[in-house]
Amino acid sequence: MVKVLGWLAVVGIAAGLTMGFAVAPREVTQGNVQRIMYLHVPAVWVAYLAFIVGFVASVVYLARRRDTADRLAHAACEVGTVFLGVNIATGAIWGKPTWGTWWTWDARLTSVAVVFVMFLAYLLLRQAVEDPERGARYAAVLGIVAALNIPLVHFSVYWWRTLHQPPSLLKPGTSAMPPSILAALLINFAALALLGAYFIARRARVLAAEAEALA
Amino acid sequence: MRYARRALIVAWKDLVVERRSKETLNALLFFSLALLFVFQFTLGPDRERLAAVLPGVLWLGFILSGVLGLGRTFLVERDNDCWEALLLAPGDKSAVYVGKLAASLALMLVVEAIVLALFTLFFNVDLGPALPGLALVIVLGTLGIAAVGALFAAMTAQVRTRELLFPVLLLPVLVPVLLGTVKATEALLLREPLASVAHWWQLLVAADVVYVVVGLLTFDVLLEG
Amino acid sequence: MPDNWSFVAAAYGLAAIVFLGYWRRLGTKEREITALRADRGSHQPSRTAHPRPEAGSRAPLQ
Repeated sequence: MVKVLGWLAVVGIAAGLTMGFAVAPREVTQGNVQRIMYLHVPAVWVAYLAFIVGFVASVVYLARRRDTADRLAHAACEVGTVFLGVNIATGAIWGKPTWGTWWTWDARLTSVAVVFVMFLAYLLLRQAVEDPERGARYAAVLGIVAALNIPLVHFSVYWWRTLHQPPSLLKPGTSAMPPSILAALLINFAALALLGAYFIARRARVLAAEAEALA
Repeated sequence: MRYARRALIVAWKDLVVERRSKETLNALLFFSLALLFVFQFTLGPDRERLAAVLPGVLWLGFILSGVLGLGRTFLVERDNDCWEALLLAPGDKSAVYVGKLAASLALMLVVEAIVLALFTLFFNVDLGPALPGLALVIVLGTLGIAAVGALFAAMTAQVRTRELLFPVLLLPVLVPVLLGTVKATEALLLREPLASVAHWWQLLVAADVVYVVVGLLTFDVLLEG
Repeated sequence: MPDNWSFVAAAYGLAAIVFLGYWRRLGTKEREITALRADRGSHQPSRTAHPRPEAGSRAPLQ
């Protein structure tokens, strides 16, 4: 199952790259640097999907205490953090030529950065608690708090940046999207989602093997 | 009302311990005072600049004190071998959460009131008509800090790297509370009416509800062992 | 606006490095565990469920 996902991901990535570079047109205002969007935007969608999976798995773990749920939560939050990191880094790289600066405290970048740090803390907690059963319980609670906090973070940061202030900087790619660009975006999303699913499945499998080996 | 009674007992115990030793209260007060000086020194004598950053500086002080004080809420139990007593407490353990939350809230509000008074003194701020709105924002914000803090304090009480892990867990989660309180305080100090910052204190209320409900629902999971 | 292909390359390159790095980390962990299992497995035959002393090796009660 993991292998299948892996190969599907490879196919997806190939398709995504083709769409992103060969099929999608050169963007009018930004030029070809806009193609980073096909990586940057799907990455955050996949990350947030992963955190939602982590949230559900955490709730299931607390309700049922199934170890598979705990491992899924752990894997999902870890993989989500990786994808979010990619999103932030590619966002900075995209921002430099477009906005002239590596970082700006605009609403989206800032809220994503906060969520990133929240889930880094989740991974730190996992490492810090030695007893695996206690670690699973604590991490589940943190996973739930962190996931529920995501909309609060987004709203607060968005209001912080936009209220009593002129509308913020140009958001690359928000003008009406030609269908080929939308298609490229969606296919890249599917590709990264497959990659994310593969990573989660494999990570969960590693966790299961670790648990068995150390038992 | 056995639940309320149990919560009250936990809160009362913590407050009595605090009243007798005054360890945490004194430490937090001195810490806040030290912060006051640090802010003054680092931000320089420029009156205008200080006035502009005052809300942020004030809440930074509150949150840092919270991090210090809240991180210790369960140390009383841990250090005195009472952790097992918590685990064995009968009935719904979320009563312990409510008790801890209430005690921490009370303690933090006392510290914050004193710090606020000192701030107005040292930075020559006239609170005047802003005070009721400010009081509301402070209570809502502190409730949020204490609600998450009590939960995370239970999580980190037994961890070796507690002093480091607790702030690392707490601060990112509290970003919405920080933003809400600072923006609301800013507006109130500029004499804007409370209604103009309705979205901010409503966000605080929403955050508080989420945190307290999650705390109530999940706390006994943390006290399982 | 100029095309800034170097930035595009940097972005995709960075992502590739991160994903490949994570993939390799997973592989390393898997190999570690298999090695650990093999190591444990080689000790298995000497451990019985209820360790019993060899017959005749115990001194009789005095």
